[in-house]
Amino acid sequence: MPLLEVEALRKYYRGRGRWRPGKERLIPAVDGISFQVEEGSALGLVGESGCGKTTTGRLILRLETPTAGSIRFDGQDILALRGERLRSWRQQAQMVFQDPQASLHPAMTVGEAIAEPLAYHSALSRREREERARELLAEVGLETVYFHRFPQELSGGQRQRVGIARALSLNPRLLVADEPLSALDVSIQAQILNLFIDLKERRRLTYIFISHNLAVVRRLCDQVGVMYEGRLVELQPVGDLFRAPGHPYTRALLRAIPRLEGRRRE
Amino acid sequence: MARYLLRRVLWGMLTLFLAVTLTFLILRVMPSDPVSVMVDSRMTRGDIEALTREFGLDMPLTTQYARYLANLCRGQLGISFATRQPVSVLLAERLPWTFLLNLSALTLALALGVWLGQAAAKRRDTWLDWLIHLLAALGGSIFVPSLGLALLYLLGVKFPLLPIGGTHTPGVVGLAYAADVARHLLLPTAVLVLVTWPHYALHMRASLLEILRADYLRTARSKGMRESRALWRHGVRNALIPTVNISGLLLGSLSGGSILAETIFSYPGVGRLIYEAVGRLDYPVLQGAFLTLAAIVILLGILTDLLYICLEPRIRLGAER
Amino acid sequence: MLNPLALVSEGADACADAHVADACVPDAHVADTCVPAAHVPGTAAPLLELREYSLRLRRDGTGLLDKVSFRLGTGEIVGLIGESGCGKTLLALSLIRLLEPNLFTVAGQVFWRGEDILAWPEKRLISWRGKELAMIFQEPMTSLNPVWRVGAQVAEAIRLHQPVGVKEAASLACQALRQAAVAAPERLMRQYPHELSGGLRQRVMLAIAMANRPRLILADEPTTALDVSIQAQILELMLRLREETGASFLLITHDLAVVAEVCDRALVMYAGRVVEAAATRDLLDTPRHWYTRGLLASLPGLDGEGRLPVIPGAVPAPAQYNWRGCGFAGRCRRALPRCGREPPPWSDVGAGHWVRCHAPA
Repeated sequence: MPLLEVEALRKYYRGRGRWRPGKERLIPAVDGISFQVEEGSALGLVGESGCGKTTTGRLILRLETPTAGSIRFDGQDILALRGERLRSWRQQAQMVFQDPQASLHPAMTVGEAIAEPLAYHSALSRREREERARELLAEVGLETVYFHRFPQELSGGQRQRVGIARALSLNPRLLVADEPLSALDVSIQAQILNLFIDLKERRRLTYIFISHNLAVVRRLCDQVGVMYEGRLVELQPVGDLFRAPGHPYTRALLRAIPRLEGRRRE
Repeated sequence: MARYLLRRVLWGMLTLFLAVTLTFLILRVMPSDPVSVMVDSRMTRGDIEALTREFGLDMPLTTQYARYLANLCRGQLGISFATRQPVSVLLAERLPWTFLLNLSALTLALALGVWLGQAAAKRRDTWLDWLIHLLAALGGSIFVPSLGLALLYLLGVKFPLLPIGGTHTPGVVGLAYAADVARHLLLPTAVLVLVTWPHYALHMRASLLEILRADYLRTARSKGMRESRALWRHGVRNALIPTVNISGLLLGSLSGGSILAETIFSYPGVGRLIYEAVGRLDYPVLQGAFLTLAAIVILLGILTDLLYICLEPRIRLGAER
Repeated sequence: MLNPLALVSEGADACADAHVADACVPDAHVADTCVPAAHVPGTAAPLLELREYSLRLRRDGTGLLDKVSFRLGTGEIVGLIGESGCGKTLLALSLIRLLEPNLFTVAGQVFWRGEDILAWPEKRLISWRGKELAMIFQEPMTSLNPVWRVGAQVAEAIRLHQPVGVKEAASLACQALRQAAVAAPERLMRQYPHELSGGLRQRVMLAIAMANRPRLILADEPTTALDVSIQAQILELMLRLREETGASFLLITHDLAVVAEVCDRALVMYAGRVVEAAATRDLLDTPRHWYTRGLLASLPGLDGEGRLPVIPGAVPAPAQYNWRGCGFAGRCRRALPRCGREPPPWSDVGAGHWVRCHAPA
């Protein structure tokens, strides 16, 4: 049984004009998408900004309520979860954001930020939480000296490592990563990408990896979904997608990627 | 837009209704009797009762309130206890002067505040910035009557350069009339400007400091624009948006200040009218005056919001997700 | 259009290839100051030439740029590569002289068509900035003023440098937008920036930059914040504008693939210094500096799988730049003992390919 099953997921927003409200329009952000993700595998969601990939991630984590459709996690309908059961499910699915600067509290040290979720969701003592935070810091490849630093003292790559450690603190099974590399330099992207690959193997983590960079997705993901205007226009195992892209939009995306061979000048 | 305006006006009317009711109640629960102020020793007990009946003060509070509201809806503000003139006539005499005073004070305070605010931001952490800060702190903490009396004594009595009261000298016409009105306006306006500009200046400074680091200001400079020009076209223009927005909030304190200023400078506006009516416990006048002030504040509030919408293209009315 | 590179040292203006090595060798100090620069055939003076241009913080003397030298010819697209924190953006802002002058001290020379701009008064700079030299920025979302219409912002750039009326400026602005491949420029003129997508805003920025037909455009990561398909369009647009107007570009990026797509030559920067300079193909096919090699290897191509080789660590903060030795020594796997102590000299490794490394690859 797949860990995550998404079926006919839809999310519509209401929108209006500026001076003249006129008719209310329904804007489809996610328009009926379905996919399944096996435990320990990674699904890449690619597409341009505004294609609905971020909204999909937020819907899966129940940060937003879908207009229609179903999401099953380990066989249970998570849209029906309430109260204590929702709380305990939330520990199993965590998110990593594009801009860790914005998602880390500036007045909280790295150690406090990583240990914070444990204070809400576990019965660990203060000491045990700190111990755990140190382990996590080591796991994401940061030295212990950073434990007492503040986020603004770190580089972009280091902050993203802290964001990942924080997401891992509750031992989640599913990680939704929303453009976690886009704000980073190419060289740092490679470091963080390797970290994601390591964690996937070591922890058997399941990923929803949202990105506009197909090259990155290729190295991490097992299957790739290409989104366009709220729809999933193509969903294929990663090898097949790069070997034989089915949808013209996928082919256009692949063509647009700048390459070291540099075809444009000739 | 129309829907927004309608909603805004409806809210305004509700606020006005609440203001009217509150004024009415507060006046009635005050522990003094307006009739006792009008009584003189020659009046008989029967006279006093007749007077009480005439003004409807013998009726239960609810009936008085209902009658007051009913009259209000017909546009009647009642008859002054003291002068026996219709309140609307009294207000119509005074309102233009209050309007003139407040409008000139608001405009000048905004202009002065914006100018000093941008100067402070442009030269932040220099002596000029500190001086403006100091003056702003001073102006913001001054009590209107103290400043008013000091100016009155200095410029009206000690060195009698300016008139000490009134709105104009009777008999003067033409251009001389305008100059005369301006001379009478000068002191009360100055007092109001002095206590109001700091709010604008500090807001302007804070907004502009943020904008000075904005990417679009860098774009403006990269076009080859002189720093001062870039600052006005792309900095001050943008910083005006939040500054104008606080005008709506400042209106309340401005009208409070204008009551004090009009009183001290014997400037016969609505504020002075209120001061006079309080002394005589002239309920109808007080109610009418407060109603008018509340209406003005609410109306100007709506106007500031409209101005804000015009200045800020990013606002989408009624847009929701 | 590959340009042969020639060595230029202090005081030796026309440095013939044969004598170059000699001129540089005599002592270590001179070797350090020897720099690669493009020899642009057919033009007497290059459009832009930096000679040992250095930048420091005035407050504590922290070094930000160390003796940067290069030449840029008319119609060239030169890439400036490096990670964030290497000084690329600082170099660009400093070239267009938009850095607060009382916060920084400069040394060296910057020649614009033979004139040293460091000596120019502010008045001269204002008529030059935006007219002959323009700049576009990384953040298209915030680089346009949100309260002015697009048309006004383009027309403003035109009226600052051309004696035209409001109407004429508007029609020129419309033309500039059309040249930036905007589909419906008339409509766009009346729109506000927040109504546009990121790609469209960057086109508007390009239109503003191109409005006065500048000779050089500094493009600071112009496509980093954009989707790949939009990035491709903007890069193609840059190439087309170069064809149409003969403008040069200095393209700042951390993405070597972007350089490969559009640049004729590229400079690699690390810790405030230029460490390698070569024609693009040469640089990408046979990178000689270990930093360039690391950058190339860490780029996820479309055909690789699994983990990527990485450069360990990160760029140090300017206060920690090691200029007594090679700035990269701390992260270099091939570092020799002397790398941390002696600044590597420039060496010509052939075909105008210059590298600053004690043990080039």
